[in-house]
Amino acid sequence: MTEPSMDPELEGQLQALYRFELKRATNDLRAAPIMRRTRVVARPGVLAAGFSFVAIVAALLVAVALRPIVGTSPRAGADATAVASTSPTTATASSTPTATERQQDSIPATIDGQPVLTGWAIADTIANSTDDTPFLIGGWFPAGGNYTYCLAITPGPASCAPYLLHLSKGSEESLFVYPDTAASDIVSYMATQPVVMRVHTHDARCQALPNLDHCDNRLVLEEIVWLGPKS
Amino acid sequence: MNQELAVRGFAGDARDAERDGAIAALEPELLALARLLVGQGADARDLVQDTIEAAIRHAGDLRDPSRLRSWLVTIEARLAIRARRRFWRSVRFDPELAASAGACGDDSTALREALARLPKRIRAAVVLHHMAGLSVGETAAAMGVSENTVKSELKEGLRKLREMLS
Repeated sequence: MTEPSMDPELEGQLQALYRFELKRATNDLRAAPIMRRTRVVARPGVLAAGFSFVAIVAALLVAVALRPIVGTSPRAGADATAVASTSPTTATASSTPTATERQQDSIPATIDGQPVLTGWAIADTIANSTDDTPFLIGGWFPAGGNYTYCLAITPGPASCAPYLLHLSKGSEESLFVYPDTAASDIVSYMATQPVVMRVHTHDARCQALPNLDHCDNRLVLEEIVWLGPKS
Repeated sequence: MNQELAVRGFAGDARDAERDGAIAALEPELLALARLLVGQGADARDLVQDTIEAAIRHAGDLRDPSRLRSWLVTIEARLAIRARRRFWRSVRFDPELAASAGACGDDSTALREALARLPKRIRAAVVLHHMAGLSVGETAAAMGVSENTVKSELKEGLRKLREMLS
């Protein structure tokens, strides 16, 4: 229950300061995301922990035993659908565009004449963007499994995962990119892989969500225009 | 749909990425609060990291996903208060931030400094209730004190702020 206001003017100033801090934190996190120190997992019960330990040991043994086989066999799941998605990105992702000049990490410098932004240049562009003009960004999908993604420009807390785009291979510095679809989107990426995406900020849907202060700075995926080799 | 995903995520049978996404969306708010609670330096980011890690470890404790925000804020406040020897000492005036605020036409510099000079528990009460929007009951729970204590701290906090700003 809200308490009766004791000093409306001062309380208004405090709320304004909070809104200012929230915007500032949003911009700062875009430029320098919070890094996870280590992978943290939910605390299991004692019995579950026992099973988990056994499962990890078993998985390690199997992995060691199968390693030569995996290394010389086609990785059916991984190679067939690097990005199997309902978004309009995937089927032609690695074939159509003309990619020129290789930057470090094998990410093209330009695609069809349009520059591909990488690293901190992406954060600068986000900070300076004022509309939803699309631009290209390059980075790396981390190795992972099958995930469910959906657009996180919604009222209330987002409950789905954005794409995680590492700024360089093996780096922990990363950006979130939100799929441009209201429906859940099934995407799988099984290996470390360079990618170039066409994205925009200032998504039109943000206008309907004035309370989502950081909405304008969110990267929304329009298309995956290039996918490099897995490693 | 979102609620459903959140429920699954925090009930422990959904993928970690879903849960991490829900928490990540609230990171700006956690960082903003951390800076108000413990200052503008690296300690604020450390506090956010600690909060997220604690939330993931105790994900099963959150039964109502609509309370995710207040749950995370509560964790952050408790960590900040518990780790006061590490965190609270660093609260200080930040000239760079003041310049930034001035450039934006923001008249918050004096208020920010006054807030930083409040006793730590009173500051926490003011930040959680008047800025983060927690109710008196939620603020009391986060700080581990009674509602009456929070009410008196809020009253005292506003009085001190008015004094410093006059």
